[in-house]
Parts: sequence; C-alpha cells; structure tokens
Amino acid sequence: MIKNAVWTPYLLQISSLFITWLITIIVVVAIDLGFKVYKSIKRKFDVTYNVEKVLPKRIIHGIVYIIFLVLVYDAVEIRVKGDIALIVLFIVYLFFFIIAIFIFGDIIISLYKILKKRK
Amino acid sequence: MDPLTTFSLIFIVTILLLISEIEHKVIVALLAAVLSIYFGVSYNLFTIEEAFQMLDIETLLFIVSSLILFESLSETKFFEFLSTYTIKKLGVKGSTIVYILLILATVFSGIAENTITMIIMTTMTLNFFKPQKINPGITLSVEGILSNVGGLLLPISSIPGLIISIKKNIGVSEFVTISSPLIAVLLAVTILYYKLFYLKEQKNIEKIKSDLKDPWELIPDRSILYKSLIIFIFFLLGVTLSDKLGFSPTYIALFFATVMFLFSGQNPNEILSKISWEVPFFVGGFSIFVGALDKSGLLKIIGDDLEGIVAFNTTLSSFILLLICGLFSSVIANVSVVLILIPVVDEIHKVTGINTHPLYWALIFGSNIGGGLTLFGSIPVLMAVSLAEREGFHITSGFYMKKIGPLVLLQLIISGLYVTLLQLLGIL
Repeated sequence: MIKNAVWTPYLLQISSLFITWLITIIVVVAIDLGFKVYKSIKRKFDVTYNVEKVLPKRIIHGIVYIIFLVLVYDAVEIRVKGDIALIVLFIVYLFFFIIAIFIFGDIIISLYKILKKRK
Repeated sequence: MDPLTTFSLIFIVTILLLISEIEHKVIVALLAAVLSIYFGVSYNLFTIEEAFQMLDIETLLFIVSSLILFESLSETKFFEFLSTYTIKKLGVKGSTIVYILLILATVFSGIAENTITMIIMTTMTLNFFKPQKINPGITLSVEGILSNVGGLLLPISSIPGLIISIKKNIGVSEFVTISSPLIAVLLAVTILYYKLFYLKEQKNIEKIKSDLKDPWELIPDRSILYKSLIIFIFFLLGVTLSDKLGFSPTYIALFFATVMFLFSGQNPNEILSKISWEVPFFVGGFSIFVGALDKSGLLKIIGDDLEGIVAFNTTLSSFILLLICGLFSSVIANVSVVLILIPVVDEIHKVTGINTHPLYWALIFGSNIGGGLTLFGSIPVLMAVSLAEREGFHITSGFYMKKIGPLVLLQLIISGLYVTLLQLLGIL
C-alpha cells in the first residue's frame, strides 16, 4: 500500500510526460512529412505545368483530397473501434491537416497570381 | 458508410485522377485496386483470394506475350525498312508521299504497337517535311488518329480490342471480317478530308521528294529479321486458327513469344526492358477495381441508368453507346472505359435481354477512335505531338480540336452508322 502510494503519483507524472512527448513527436513528424509531401506535389505541378494551366488540376486535387478524408475515416471505422479508432484517426487527420494547409495555401496563391496577371 | 457509397467515392476519385492526369495512370489503377481490395475485404464483399482472381491472368498473359512479339519484330527495324522500301520503290513525290505515309500509319498500327508505329511514322514524316520547312503538325496528328483506326485491324492490334475479344470470344476471322471494311472506308474518308481541307494550307507539300537511302542499310542483321518475321507471321496465323488448333490465343501468343526468344537470336533482356510494362500493370490494377465495383453493386446502378439511354431504341443502341464510349475515351484512357463498360453492357443484357454483340463492337470502335477527339485522349496522337514538339513544331490543344476534332467526329459517326447497318442487316 505504501509502495503504491509512493509509485502512483510518480508513474502518473511519467505517463503524462510521456504522452506530451509522444504528441510533440507526432506533431513534428506530421509537419515534416506534410511539408515534404507538399513539396513533392508542388514540384510536380510547377515543373510539369505552368501556374495558370494547372489551376483546374489543383482544384481536382482539392476535391480528391476531401474524398480521401472521408475514405480514411471509413477505412479506420471498419477495422478499428473505440478509443484506438480515435487515436488512429487523430494521427491520420493530423497528417492530412498539415498537408492541406500547404496544398490549399498554394491554390490560393495560384489564384492570386492569376488574378494579378489578368489585371 | 455503406459499401455502395464507399465504392462510389473510390470510383469518383479514380475518374478524377485519370481525367486530370495528375498522377501516372498506372499509379491511379494500382491505387484503385488497393483501395478496392481493402474496402471489399473489410465489407465482406469478397475474400482476398477472390480479389486476386479478378486479375484476369489470361488477358494479362496475352498482352505481355503480344508485346514481346511486337517489340522483337520492331527491334529488327522491319517497319522502317518496309516504309522506306515502299516509298522508294513507288518513286512518288509531293502529296502522294503524304497519302502513302497515312496508309502506312494505318497498316503498321494494325500489326505493331501504336507507340512503335508513331515513332517510325514521326521520324519518316519529319524527314520529308523538315527540308521543305513545312509544319508537320496536321500530318502527324492525322497519322495519330489513323493509327487508332489501324488498331481495329486485329484483336491484338489494340488493348481494348484485345480485352473484348478475349472476354467475349470474338475470333480473329470475325474481327478482320467486321473491322477491315470500316478501316478501308475511314482511311479513304480521311485521305479525302486531308485533300480537301488540309492540303491547301501546306503550300510546299508538292515539293517533297523521296530522297531516301537504300532501305537494306537500315537492317542491322538480316538473319534476325528473317527469323523474327517468320515467327511473327506464324504467330498471326496461329492466333487466327486458334479455334481449329484447339488452343486459346493466349497459349499461342505465349508459345510464339517463347519461340521468338529461343530462335530469333535477339537478347531477351533488351526486349523485356523495352516493353511498355505500364499496359499490363494498368489493365491488372483496373481489372481488380472494376471487379470490386461489380461486387459492390455500383455497376448495376450505372447499367440501369445507361439502359434508359441505350436501350430505348435497340437499333440505335450501338450507335449511342459508340458515341458515349468515344466521348469518354477522349478524356480517360480507353482501356479503363472499356473495362468499366463491359460489365455495364452485360448488365443491360441481363435486364433487357437485347443482343449485346453489336454493343461490344460499338465499344471496340468507340474506344479506339474516340481517343483522337482530344490531344491527350490517345497515345498515338500524344506521341505524335510530343515528338513534333521536340523538333520545334508546337501543336496546341485548341489548334488540334479545331483542325482534327471534326475529322475524328466524322470517323465516329461513320463507325456508328456502320455498326447500325450491320445490325440492321443481321450480320451482328
């Protein structure tokens, strides 16, 4: 009993520290990977096509991205249930969210460039 | 979500990616297959073993064996030799040379892979056009669409034709009997169209001369050429007589691919490294995807919807399906259009009981010819344009649609009328 009384607060502290560490690592990895994915997509768009020509393709890419979000949710929901499903979804959506920031940001920049060019 | 909604989303994603060409079509086909297997197995629509049975190994083996045989013959420089020999022997000049090039593009694509045909025809055309400083854009584009027409000659000439002939047991003799009159008509119409509308725009075309070198100089090794040509001819005969021999065309193709490796004297490593591996990978991936769509019930819904359009008049059904297939093939790879529409036609047959044989022919004609409607719809046209661009002749999408689009539309209408006529005569 004395042993538990000593160890429980200590373990709780470690576990909360461990979870914080884990979340930090996941977020950092997600940002890094997300940026790398975005860079490879952007390179493909910029090298293969010019900005104006590629706008419809970027919009299609956006639609495909949104459908993939739904499919990922479905993919996780069929196989995993409960808390684990929530954790998996959190990690997957974190990655998707970071890629989305860059992709949609790029679409907005492309639109701005086209509008500026036309003016 | 229910399986139908999930597979509808996968279908939309696949079509969007194919239309936009953001990713390579092989990647799209493999992605569609991977997603279909995951969701199909998870929803208990099929088992993992059943998923791999959808791969249709017979069609894939036939495609790979045919590609080996085509590539082996092309490595001997036979096609370059034949085109140079024909033009030199005939001693023609001016626009007649262009007409012969158009005929050769049609004939070659009937017995060789489209990409090989277009590389040869582009090289030949540029050799004639560049000295006279004539823009070869129109001629190359017309060669590209005639290459699609030539792909109707034999079941092995084009992948859509090959898939339908294997799946629906259309023999070589039937294929040639039905398609060769149409090829002749389309070729004649195209040459006439060229003469009426394109010739005037290219002023220096009459100055073209046939200053070609000795065609035998093009052949690196005559012994290999003779052996490869004999094996290829026997392969064509074997496929034609497959019913009488009691072996499937796939086995015959595999047999002669082995014979080619054994006796032609060519290096198998070189041949295998030059094969368009994207074709079997795309067909394989897409077959699994379409099989999964079928199991999910989505194709039944598409079939029911299309039935309303296609089957309201049985006489016009093949004409309408040909136009639909042609239009789809102009924006999506024609192999995918055919793979999706085959089970849809089967579904129409189940529901209405109408004769589907003309509809399969409509798919063969529509998928081959329709690709020429746009600059990016078919590989021969795309290759012709990119090879011309490499030589400094730029062909824009707008220019192509304006100049070549009406000709392809005319070809589609003629093909539709041809199928309808055969249907009315009771031939199909």
